[in-house]
Amino acid sequence: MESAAVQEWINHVIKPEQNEKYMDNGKTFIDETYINETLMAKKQPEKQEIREIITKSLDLQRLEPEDTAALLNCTDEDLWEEMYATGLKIKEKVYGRRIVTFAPLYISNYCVNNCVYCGFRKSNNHTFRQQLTMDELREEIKALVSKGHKRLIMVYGEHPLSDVDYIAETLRVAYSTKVGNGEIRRANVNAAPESIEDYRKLKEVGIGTFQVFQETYHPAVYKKLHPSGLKANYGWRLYSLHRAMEAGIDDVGIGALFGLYDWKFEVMGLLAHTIDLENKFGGVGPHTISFPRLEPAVNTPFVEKTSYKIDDDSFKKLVTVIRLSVPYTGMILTARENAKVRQNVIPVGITQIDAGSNIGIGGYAREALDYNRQQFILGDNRSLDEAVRDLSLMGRITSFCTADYRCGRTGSCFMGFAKEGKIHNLCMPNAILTFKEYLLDYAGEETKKAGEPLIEQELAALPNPTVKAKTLEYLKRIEAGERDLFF
Amino acid sequence: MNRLRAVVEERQRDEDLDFIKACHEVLAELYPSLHLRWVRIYGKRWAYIYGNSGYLDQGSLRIQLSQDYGICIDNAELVAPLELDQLAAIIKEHFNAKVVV
Repeated sequence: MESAAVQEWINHVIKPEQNEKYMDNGKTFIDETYINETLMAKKQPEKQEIREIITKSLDLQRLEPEDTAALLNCTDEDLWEEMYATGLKIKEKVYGRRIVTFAPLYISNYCVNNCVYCGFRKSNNHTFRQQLTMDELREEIKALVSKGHKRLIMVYGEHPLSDVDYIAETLRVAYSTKVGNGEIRRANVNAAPESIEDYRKLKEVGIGTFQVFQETYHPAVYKKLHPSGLKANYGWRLYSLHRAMEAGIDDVGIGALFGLYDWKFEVMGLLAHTIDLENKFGGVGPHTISFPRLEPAVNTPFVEKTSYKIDDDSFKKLVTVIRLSVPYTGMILTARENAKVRQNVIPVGITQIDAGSNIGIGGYAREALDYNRQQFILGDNRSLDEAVRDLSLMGRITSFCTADYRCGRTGSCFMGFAKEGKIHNLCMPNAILTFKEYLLDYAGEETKKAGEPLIEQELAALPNPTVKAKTLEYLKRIEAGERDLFF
Repeated sequence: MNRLRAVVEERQRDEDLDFIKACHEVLAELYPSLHLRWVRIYGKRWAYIYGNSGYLDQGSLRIQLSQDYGICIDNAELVAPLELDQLAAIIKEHFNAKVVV
């Protein structure tokens, strides 16, 4: 049973009328029967059909559910190799050879929900509960900035203590805390679904992207895994990003937690979500798609028992299908995955990763791993510097760029550029400039050695002579001490 | 320049977005090749509200017009810097006039 105060808060937060207008004839965009029938109808796709779909993706066209179902059901390993290669081509066509890097920052793990797979669930008395004060938050930000981070995803439990006013205050602190040349330039948020009025408050303080993951799109499974709390309301969560868009937060991130239900159904759910956002907001779908895999958590036996665990091979395939299905959208691969998996999956079309991550509350300032303060257990514990170096050795430049949302390239504007494959014209020079800042201010000697030749290589590869000349000029100014120069 | 000044004078009571669209129209006639977009400023975030979303070869020149609004010009070299300053100053008059003391 919820305490009366918490139940009152939940009742206050949820406004059903804000969802109803986005439903079609009272139905959500997740049509379980249609998804299952489409997957069944495309059970044995022909080789020619798969190749035609690959061509469509290469033209940066969003796939239809029938196309995605065909890809998901492909059993020909040679065709999968073609799809992996296509994922990389698409990603480089849209965004270039850069990987945007950020840090997750867990702010509060008080939670009213009881998600059976989550270490932060209310009933888990093995978890040490903490919410950062603004002073503690400043220390976390300073620790992150001192390592070279410029972008954050700030994560909050769903609880009255971390309501929208608290989140807005933490964003103000994140943006105003500086250390030497360093500062946070883009703060994204992963938090409880809000009402339209509350999303407006977050917009006012300069939020980057607002993320809400549906976890599972399957309504019955969702109900079973989210027995109580704010999150027990499937529809409130399903339309949370519609409300965010209506409030003017024009960059939103969707995701599913893979391992809760059939992975093919979840990929179809992510596509349906994308299509519905695009249909209702003038062609603007999600800015990013995430596909975290279920990981162990303290005192959380469900994770060991689930029959929907996904092996590494299937994981790579589902990421590839998402890349091909929504070719122009950012894709985030987190440090839940170990370094080996990340090195293997990044080349199929990943655009963003986190690095040097610590997901314990207060973990960066303490420089400590503490599983009792974590939502789950991380797979990749490399430092930011090690991850940057490894990416360099893979021929990929680490980008800390935040220029788009500071130059009005947001929402429909960003999506227009991305869909036409134009955004990489600026992604690569901005990646070079932010990478140079990182190498000068934060990198170890080995990373500098691996990174400097990459800057030369990518500078030489810039196709536009005016942009190349200006990038060269900016690089000289950065070497002379200027910072935050961007296109 | 006079046409832009006239818009500022005639549309003082307009909603911000209507005023912005009117200014955009004048600027598009004066400089048909100029690629500019209007933004609403929320702290570090300059959020797109109107204008160029088709041309992208070079970086943007950012001009803050008020606490809440700005413009980003993707090929600002087409206009002499002095002229650009004058245009921005005229548009700023509209927003300055709205400040309640």
